Amino acid sequence: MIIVVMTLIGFTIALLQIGAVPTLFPTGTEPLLPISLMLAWAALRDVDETWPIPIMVSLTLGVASQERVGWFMIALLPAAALALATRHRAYQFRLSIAPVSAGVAAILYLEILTIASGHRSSFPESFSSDLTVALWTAVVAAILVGLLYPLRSREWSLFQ
Amino acid sequence: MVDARSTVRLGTFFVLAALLLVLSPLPLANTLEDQAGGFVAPAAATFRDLMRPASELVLNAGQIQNLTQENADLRRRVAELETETASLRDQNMTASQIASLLSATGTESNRYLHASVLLRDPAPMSRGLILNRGSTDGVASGQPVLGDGATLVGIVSEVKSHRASVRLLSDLDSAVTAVLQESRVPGALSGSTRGLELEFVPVGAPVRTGDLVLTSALGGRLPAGIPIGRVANVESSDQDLFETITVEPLNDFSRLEHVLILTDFVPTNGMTDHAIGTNP
Repeated sequence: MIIVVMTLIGFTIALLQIGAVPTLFPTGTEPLLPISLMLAWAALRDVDETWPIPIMVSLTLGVASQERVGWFMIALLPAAALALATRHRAYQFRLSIAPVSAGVAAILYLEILTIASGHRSSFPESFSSDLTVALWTAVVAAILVGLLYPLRSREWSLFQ
Repeated sequence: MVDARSTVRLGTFFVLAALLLVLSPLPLANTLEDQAGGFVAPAAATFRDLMRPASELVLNAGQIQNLTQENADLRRRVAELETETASLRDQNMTASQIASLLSATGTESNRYLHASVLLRDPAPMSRGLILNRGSTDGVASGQPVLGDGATLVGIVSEVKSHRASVRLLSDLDSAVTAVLQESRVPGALSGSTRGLELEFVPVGAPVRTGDLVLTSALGGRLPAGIPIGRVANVESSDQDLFETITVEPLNDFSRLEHVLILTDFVPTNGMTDHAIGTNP
């Protein structure tokens, strides 16, 4: 059941990313909602529940873009790896590191897709916009941690 | 730090991604993508339309002073244009008489197709749009796409049956031949991280801030005379061969909602669809 729910959430968050988010932010500075959600959810609950998100997001973004689906999936790998790397750490540590991980994952996402597009990495020139994306992604992750806190894994709540 | 199970998951994920990359050139993959895109693009556009009131509120908050100043500048500009229009109206009457004579010779007239922007390409290095028109509507790769005021905003880069992708002029892979209206100095207008740049204009060429940049028919990719933008800045140093010219587009590419496609224009340079409008 949770897999179905996360699949739908992943699809919805992808539609929000390509439809709604560009209307709120200047081009090139939009936060990456899927990465924020993945890391926030992985911090609050089990990271295993998040695996439908990168698959649905990369399929949806790939279909809507001229870039290939596989590259979006590879670009989301760092976010998945960061979520997995902290799965056995203390609960409070996971919550506090989620926004930082989201920011780092956002920068890696942008760099991978930049290389996939055939351009040499524009990191020096686009540093300010990449940093803006990373900061907004981290902020959204922090907000999601707060909003989704009531949904935290119950096994941890015994020790709260 | 990462246990064996997690490593297996990451590895599986990576293999899946690689598989999708390898299979993407297959016709079946393109068909599936086309079918899925027919649902995804309108759905995303619906989300965009639902968020529009909120986005307008967020973006316009705190802009009152700027809007007031912009309003005053626009009123002044309108007054100048009205004077210019009176003069042009006279010239237009002459041109109309000439055009009616030319039409009698069977000269082709351009045909415009209206299209709505469904969404922007989500790839971060791409400056592209997805339109709600496709090959069934007569859209083909290489056709110019015009925004408000019939100004060039991009070129059709990929066409599906009911959707088309447009590469905007601000895309890093975009390059079109252009010419300055007054001095007729040619150049290559390309997208960059700083916006639009007019390249290969020799140092010392008669270029001024505010000069209008038009499309050039050189190369056969575009019809001549379509407005693109105005020169915003001209820089050069003693060691440079070419000026560094930034161009301000006449359209705000981030706010495009409706465009016109010049469906009767066919590029004549014999280039492949993939190479249309791209930097070499």
